Amino acid sequence: MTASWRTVAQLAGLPALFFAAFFIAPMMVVLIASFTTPEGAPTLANYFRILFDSYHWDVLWVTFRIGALTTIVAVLIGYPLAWYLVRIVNWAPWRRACVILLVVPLFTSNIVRSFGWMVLLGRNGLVNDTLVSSGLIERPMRFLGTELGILIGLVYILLPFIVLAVGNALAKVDPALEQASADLGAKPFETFWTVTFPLSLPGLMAGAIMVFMLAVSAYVTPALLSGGHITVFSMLIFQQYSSVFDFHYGGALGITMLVLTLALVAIAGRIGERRSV
Amino acid sequence: MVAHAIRLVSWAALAFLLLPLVVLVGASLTATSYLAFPPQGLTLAWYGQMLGDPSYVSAFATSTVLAAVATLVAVLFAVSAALAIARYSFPGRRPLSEILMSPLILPHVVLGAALLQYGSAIGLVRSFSALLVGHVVIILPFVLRTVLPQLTEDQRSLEEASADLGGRPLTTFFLVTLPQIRSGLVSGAIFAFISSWINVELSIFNTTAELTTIPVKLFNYVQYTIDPTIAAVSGLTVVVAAVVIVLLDLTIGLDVLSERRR
Amino acid sequence: MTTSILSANGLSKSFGGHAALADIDLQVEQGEFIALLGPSGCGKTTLLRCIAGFLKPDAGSISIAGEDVTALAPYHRPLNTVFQNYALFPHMSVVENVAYGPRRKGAPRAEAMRRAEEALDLVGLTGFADRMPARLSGGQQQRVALARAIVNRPKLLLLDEPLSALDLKLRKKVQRELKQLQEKLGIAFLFVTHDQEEAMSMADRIVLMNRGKIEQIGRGPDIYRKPATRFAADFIGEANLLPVKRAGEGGFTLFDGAVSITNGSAPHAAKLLGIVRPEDVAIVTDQALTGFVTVLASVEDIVHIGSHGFVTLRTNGCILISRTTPDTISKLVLGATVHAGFRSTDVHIIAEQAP
Repeated sequence: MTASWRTVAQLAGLPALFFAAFFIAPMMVVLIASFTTPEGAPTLANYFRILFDSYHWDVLWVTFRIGALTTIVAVLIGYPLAWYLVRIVNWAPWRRACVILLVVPLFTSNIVRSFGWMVLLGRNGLVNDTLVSSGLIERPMRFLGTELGILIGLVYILLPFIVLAVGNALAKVDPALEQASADLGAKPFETFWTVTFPLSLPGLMAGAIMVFMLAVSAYVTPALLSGGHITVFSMLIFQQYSSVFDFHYGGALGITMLVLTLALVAIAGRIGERRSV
Repeated sequence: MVAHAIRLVSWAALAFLLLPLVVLVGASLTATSYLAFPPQGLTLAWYGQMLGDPSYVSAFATSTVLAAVATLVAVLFAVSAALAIARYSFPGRRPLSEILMSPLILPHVVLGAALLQYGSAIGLVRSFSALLVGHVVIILPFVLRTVLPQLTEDQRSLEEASADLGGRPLTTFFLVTLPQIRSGLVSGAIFAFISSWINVELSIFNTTAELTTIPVKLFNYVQYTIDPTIAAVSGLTVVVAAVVIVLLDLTIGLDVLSERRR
Repeated sequence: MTTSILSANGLSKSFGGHAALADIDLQVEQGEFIALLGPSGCGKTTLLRCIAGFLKPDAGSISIAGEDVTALAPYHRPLNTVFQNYALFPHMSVVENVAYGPRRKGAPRAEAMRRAEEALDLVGLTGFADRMPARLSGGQQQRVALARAIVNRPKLLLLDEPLSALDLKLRKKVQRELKQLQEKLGIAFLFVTHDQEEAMSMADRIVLMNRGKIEQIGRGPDIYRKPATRFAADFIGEANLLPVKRAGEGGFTLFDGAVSITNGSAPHAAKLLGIVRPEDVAIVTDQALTGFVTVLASVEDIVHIGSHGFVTLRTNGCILISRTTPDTISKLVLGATVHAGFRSTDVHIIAEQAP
């Protein structure tokens, strides 16, 4: 027993100490700062400031609306794409090429990806050029600095997460289950709705939760595509730490965002669990 | 009918995924002094300009060294912690693994801010070490996540067999355990490296004009100016990512979506 | 003549140039229990999947109760399947799994549930309705799969190695129950197995398959006594396969002429093979047996397995195996010379096919 204690301490000691020093301690510092005044006295004023300021509510609302829309759009595009890759594509080289195409964006910086959209969505960008010359719109549309622009950028960045999560779940569905369903008289859509979809739901939920969390906490993409016209919550936090230097208020903002995100994710997880049983 | 609709949506989605990457690489080849896509004329001049600018070269170097060192530390920590978690039962085992995994679900802006505040208290700011500790924290879960599931019970009996045959713990680790977890370790380490290499949200709090990583430099630059040099820098990262992924596909295989149909 | 429940005509199916089924003809009658028997890769599962509709044959037709179903999708065919690993829906309870079929056929929920409960009673799973499949034992899962497949009262039930995942003791018990259930329901069963004992003990008729072809169809004992091919003789039970030479009208010799027999049913073929079951080979140490043809042989090996034993004998370059009693074995020693004998009527002569 003592020998194994020593082994555990040797193996896990350093990582545990490292995380205590550079993960837990910093988070505790933020938590404590959020509940104190600059003089060190305990206070709830930082949270009251968030609670009673309608500007914060507006920013939160915009942030979570963009997060929810991003998740919905990514699911609506990602599920069919995952289905296509797993169930329709027969030619392995093409599927490999598609998977590589899905993974390359994950391996490039948000900046680079958002930058691509800045070029595409600009006043004289390819998207506007195409839309105008095809006669769909008369004058170039404004994308940059709109929620639509941010939404396009976020969906682009987060789509691969949904596709990979759903694709993995679909690939794991035992084909015998779908055959059993057909054998018992279910037509293809009934089989999808009663067997395949419920079995892919845990993967879909996991992917959707991941997308939602990343969309809500995203900083770079909204910062670049908002052009300063739209503020999301992570920008508020960043401002407090990089230009205002109010660590107490900034801490309260950070903790608020963390708690709200985790709460929403937990609720979504619950709903998903209940549905999949 | 339905299959056709799914095909159309999928092709559109794949085009959507490809478009910005093509535009970036294309725009970086333009001969004009402003960004243009499709490129007007072809030149590698912007790549030359980028390589001639020492600030870009040093940012590339910083990013690469940072990602490499952070990955190395994360791999050492993650493997030893995974061995403790998988092989021994001890009080605090579950909390330990949950804490080690939790940076995955923490907004990086919050963590970056926390490290900045904490770092300024203990004098660890705007330095390579300050960047390093943050990067180790956020990338360690990637390695742990892929290594832990590979330390299975079957493997424990292999380790016991090795011990039975006279292998000392370290010999057993290098000759028996390591080869078994190699694939998880490699893919986890690659994701860790890439996550460090592309990070902005965490790094941005601890960079200076002299000490900066390539994504942070790009981020600061793109907000004020857009020119083909930026496209060249971006294009280069896209090409590097594509090459790494194709190599990955050829070595460990990325065909994760192939169905095991009977 | 009544219509067969299942009639497969000229079925062929190949995968990438490899013929998995070659010109298969098969009729199954009302209420019959048929075993599709053969080694793995013989095409039996391919045949089952063609009948169920999961595979489309390259050529040939399939009719169920007189209706041509060759072009029908699985969900339009009046048959059900018990899958090899049961394929129970993991996200549905036991009763929901069983009610799935009636629901798809349009039964109202309450009615479907009632019928599902009935089917569960029938397989002895009363009270398990609300469990999830993952929390059942292998035997219980097998019963749920069975209940799910019979609840719609199909005309034909296909079973794909349904007992292969069960341990030996449980398998024997389930075999008996399955047979009783089949007799009670009167549904024709088409049962895929690679286990010849299972096929022998359960099936009315055995369809023996090898390399995508049917080797022989018949009652178990008939195939055992009168195998049509070397493969049939070898696959079902143990067999001594002895080269046979023709010696005049109705006469044959074995062991390079050491033994002569007569046989009226031998085929007209250039090369002949004699089949003698080990239990028909008797051993005596000193004298010739009356009514038997005998040959001198030396004892090469003795295997004692309790109730009986096998003795390997060598005679004139041939190996002859005898299944005999512990009593006989106790008198034998390795290397001893004995008389081995069998009745000439116990020798079944077939044509030796070119390999």
